Amino acid sequence: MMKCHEVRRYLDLFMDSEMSVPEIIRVLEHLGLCRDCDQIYKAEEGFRALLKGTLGAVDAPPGLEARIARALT
Amino acid sequence: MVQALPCQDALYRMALRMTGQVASAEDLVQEAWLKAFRKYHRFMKGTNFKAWMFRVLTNVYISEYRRRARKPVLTDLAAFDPGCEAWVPYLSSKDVEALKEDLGDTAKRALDDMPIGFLMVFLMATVEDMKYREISATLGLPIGTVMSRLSRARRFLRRVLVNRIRDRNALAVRSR
Repeated sequence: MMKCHEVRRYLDLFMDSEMSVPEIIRVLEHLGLCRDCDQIYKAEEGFRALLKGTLGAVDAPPGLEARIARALT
Repeated sequence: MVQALPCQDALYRMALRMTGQVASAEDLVQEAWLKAFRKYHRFMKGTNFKAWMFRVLTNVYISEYRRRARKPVLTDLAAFDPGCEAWVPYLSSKDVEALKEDLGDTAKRALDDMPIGFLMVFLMATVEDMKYREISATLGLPIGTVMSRLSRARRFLRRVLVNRIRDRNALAVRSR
């Protein structure tokens, strides 16, 4: 089974869905059995969601599209 | 009349963080669309349009905004973050909870200090959910570089945020 330090080292890759299926299964197995790593994973998940919600909550100003449309025609 | 330009919000978000100013971000997005329409024949159908548009945006930024950019486009890692090789622990649930109030301002200030090359990789992965290979193709960087910049950017942000929590806690203890 994967060791704690390995899981923590590869956590970003795991969370970015950039691991192979067998590797993902090994991480999941570990998270299912290790409370400490699972807590880190859950906190990181919350952190990423918070970051995405904060930084992603920006929409283009309403008039910009019309301005671009005018420039394009 | 062009209606509902795709990925407009994502382009604007990226442009805003790159330029740091609303007016410049709007100009940058407009320039990117003008360029995209001129170069549309180069877009390969079936590939990721958003990634292609980010590439156009980046190229416009580099060619037209670099001179007056407040940030260096090339990345000087040591200047960016001298402690970037050191491991920074993940945030705990308690830390994340503590950040909920004012993460926005702290995170945005930290991102303002991040060189563009790191910032773009970070935002593409974190906010736009792009895969490493999409980021690699968009920015013309090897995958290894994308991974290393992303990892350093995350560590940098974690360290800034952890320090912020620590400072706030110290302040709370002193004021008791």
